[in-house]
Amino acid sequence: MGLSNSPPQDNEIEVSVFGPGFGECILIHLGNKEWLVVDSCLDPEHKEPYPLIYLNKLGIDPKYSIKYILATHWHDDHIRGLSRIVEVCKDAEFICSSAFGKKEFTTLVDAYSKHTMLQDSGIEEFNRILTYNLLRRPKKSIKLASGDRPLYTSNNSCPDLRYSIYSLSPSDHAMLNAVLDIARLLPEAKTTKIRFPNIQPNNTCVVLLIIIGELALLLGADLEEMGDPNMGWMNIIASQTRPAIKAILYKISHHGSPNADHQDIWTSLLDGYFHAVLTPFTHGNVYLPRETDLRRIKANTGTNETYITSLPRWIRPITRNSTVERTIRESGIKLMRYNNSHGHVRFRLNAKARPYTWHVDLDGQATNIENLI
Amino acid sequence: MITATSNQTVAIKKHKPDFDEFSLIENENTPEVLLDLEHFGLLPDETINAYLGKIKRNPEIVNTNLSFESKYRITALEQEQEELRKDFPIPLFERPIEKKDMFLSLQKWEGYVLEINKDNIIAQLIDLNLLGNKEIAEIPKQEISSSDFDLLREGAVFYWTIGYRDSTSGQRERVSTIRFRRLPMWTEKEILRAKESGERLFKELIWD
Amino acid sequence: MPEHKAKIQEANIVIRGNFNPQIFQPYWFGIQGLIRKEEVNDANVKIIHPDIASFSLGWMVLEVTRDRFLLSTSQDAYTEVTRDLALGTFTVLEHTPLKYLGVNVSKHFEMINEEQWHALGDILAPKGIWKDLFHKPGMRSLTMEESSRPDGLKGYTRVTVEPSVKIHPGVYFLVNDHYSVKDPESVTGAEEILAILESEWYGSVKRSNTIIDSLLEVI
Repeated sequence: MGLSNSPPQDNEIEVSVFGPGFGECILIHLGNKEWLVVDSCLDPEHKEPYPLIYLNKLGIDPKYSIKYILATHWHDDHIRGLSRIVEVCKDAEFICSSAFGKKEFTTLVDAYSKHTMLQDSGIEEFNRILTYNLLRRPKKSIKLASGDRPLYTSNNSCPDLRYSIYSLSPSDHAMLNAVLDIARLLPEAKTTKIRFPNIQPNNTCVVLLIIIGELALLLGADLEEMGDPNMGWMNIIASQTRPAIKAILYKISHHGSPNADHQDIWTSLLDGYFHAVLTPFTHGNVYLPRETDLRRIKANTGTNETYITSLPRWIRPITRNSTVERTIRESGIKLMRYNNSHGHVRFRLNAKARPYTWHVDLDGQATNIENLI
Repeated sequence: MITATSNQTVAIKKHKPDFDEFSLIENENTPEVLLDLEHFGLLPDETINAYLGKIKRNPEIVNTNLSFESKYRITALEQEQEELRKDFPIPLFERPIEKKDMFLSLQKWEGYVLEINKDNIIAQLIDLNLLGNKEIAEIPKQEISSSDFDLLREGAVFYWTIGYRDSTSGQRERVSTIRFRRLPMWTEKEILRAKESGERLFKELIWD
Repeated sequence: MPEHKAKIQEANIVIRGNFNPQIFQPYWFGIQGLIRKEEVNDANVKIIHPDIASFSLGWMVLEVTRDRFLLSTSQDAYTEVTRDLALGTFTVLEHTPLKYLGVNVSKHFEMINEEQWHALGDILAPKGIWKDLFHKPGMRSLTMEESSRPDGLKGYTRVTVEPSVKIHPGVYFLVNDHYSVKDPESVTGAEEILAILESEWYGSVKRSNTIIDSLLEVI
C-alpha cells in the first residue's frame, strides 16, 4: 500500500474504506486505540481480510485493538473473511442484524452449511462465526442491531473522544419481512439442491450512526429504498428517536445504486459540508455505480469530496493457454473478469481540533469521482 | 475362499498400478484394518476378476500348476471354490487393463447460473486452475447439453472443462464440455435435521 | 525440472462398507437423477449380480462388491462429477453403513530420457547401498505414509512411486488419501463418510496433486 504506515494518534479519528472492486470493508479508529470493523473483504494480494493486513502494517495488533465487529448483512461482497477476524479478535464484540437472531436464520445456516458446495461465502462465514461463538466464546453474547438502537457507548473522560454507536436499521417492519424471506429460503423436500440464493431487497441491513464527540459518521451499508415509510431510508429519515446529529462523513449506500438513494439523506442526515465515499460492485451483468449514478451523487453532494475505492468495471480475462483461448472463442462464450484491484480511501481528522477537517489519502485504484465523470 | 497362514505373505502385485489401495495386502502384521484378516475372505479384486473371467496366471506364482491355468480359463461361477484354495496357496493375480478414453484438461471452471435469457445464460465462474480468479461468462444455450436443460435454473451449478480427449481408437479431439451437477433432491430428513440442529444452535447462543 | 504434464491420470473414490451390489444398476442411477437418461441407455454393463455389479459410462467405471464401492474416472473433466455421483448415491442410500473412504489420484508421467527416469529413482531410493548386494539394483516400488492426518481426521496418506508400466521411460505416482469414521464397528449409516467426502475432497485432490508435483520437482 502507498499510504504512510504511521498509526493514528490517540485523538485522531480514522475511517478507512476498502473496496477492491468486489467487496467492501470499513475500519474505524474511534480514538484511544479502539477500532471498529464493519464488514469484511479480502486484500487481493494477500487473500486475507483487509483489517488484519492493514493494522499489522500500522504496527497494531488487531487482537487487542479491534473492539467491535459488525456484519451489516450476509451478502458475499460484505462478509468475506469476517469469521477470520472474529477468531483472531477473541474478545471483540460481535454485532449483526436482529434478523439473524432468529431460529429461521440459524436453521438456514445449518441446512446449507452441511453441504459445503452449495453455500456462498456469506452462509459459510456466518456458520463459522456462530459455531466459533458457541464453542470458543460460549459466554459472549451476540449483539443484535435494529432501528434506533444504541449499541455501545464509551466512558471516555475526554468529551471529544466519547463515542456512541447506534444502529438505525433494520426497522421492526423490515425485520419481520426479512424473517419471512429467510423462512422462504429454507429448502423444501423434493426440490433440487442449488447454490444458496441471495435475497433482494436487502431487508436485513444495518445502517450505523457513530457519534464521536461532536461529529457523526453515517455508514449506509446496502440499505435500499423501496418507497415504504416503514422501512428503508424513509423510515430512518422520519424517525423521531434517531439522534438528531448530522454526519460529516457518509459511506454511500449500496454502491451508489439509485434504488438505495433518497433525496432527504443528503439534506436531513448529512452536514452541509460533508465527505462521502463509496465502493464499486460488479456481479453478473450488473456493475455499480454507473456514470449516471456518479453524476447524481455529485449533484447531491455539492462538493468535490466524494471518493470511490476502485473502478467499477469489468476487465479483460487473464490470458490463458492459446488452445484454451481458441476454444473459448470458438464456443462463442464471452468472459469478463471482476476488477479485483486494491483500493483504499483513508480519512483522518483530529477530534480535538475545530473545525473538523478531514485529511484524505488514496491508495491503489481509489480516486475522486470527479475523475470518472 | 483363499486363505493364508500366519507365516505366509499374500501379496497382490501391482503390475497394473491403477489399482486402488485395497487390493494390496501385507502379512498379518500390517496394521491395515482393510485387510479383514479375521476372515481371510476373497479380496474384492479377486472376486471381480474371478467373476469376470479375466484372471491370468502370473509368472511369479511359486507353485506353478498347469491345471490351475486351465481351471482359471473358466469363470469362478463355474468352478468350486474349494479347488481354488487347494491349488493356489499363494496366488498372484494381475488385474486386467481396460482401455478407456483419456482426458487431459487444460482449464476447468466451476460455475453457477445467475441469469437465464432466451439465447444464453449468465454465469459466475470460479477458475479451478487459478483459485481466486472470478469471472463472468455469457454462455450461448447451444453449448449446454439438451439432457441438462431440466437442471437449468438460477443457482444451478455446473462444471466447464476445456482440454484434449484421446479416445481408445487413438483419436485426439479438442473439447469443451459443460455439465450440470446432479445431486439428489432435498429430503424430508435433511430438512428436519437442519430444523432441529438450527433450533439447537439458536437456543445455545446468547443473543443480546 | 521442466514442467511435466501427466500422460495418463485417474482419480477414484473407494468406499468400504456393506453394500448390496444388485442395486447399483444404471437404471437405478437414472431414476434417481444421478446420471443422464441417455447415459442409462448407453451404459456398458459388465455384470449385475448379488455379489458384484460393474458397469461403465463414457467417463467413469463403477465396481461394487459386498464390501467395496469403487468409482473411477480417467477423465479430468469428470473428477468433480465422479465425486458428486458418490455423494448422490449415498445420500439416497443414507442407511448404508460406510466405514472407510479413499480418495485416490494416480498419474503416469513420461520422462525425457532414461537418465531422468533413473534420476528420480536415485533420489527417492539411492542405489548406493544396494550396489554391493545386487548387480543391477533398481527401484520397483516405494511407498511412504503419513500415518496421522494433518486435518485431525482418522486415517493416513500414502504415496507410491513406481516405474510406469504404461509409459517408458515413465514414472507412476499414486496418492491414497484414506479416511476412517470414528468407530468403524458401530457405524450405522453413510452420514459420517459423506460429510468427510464433501468437506475434504477438494483439499485432498489438491494436496495429492501438490505431492506429485513436488516429487517431480526434485529432479
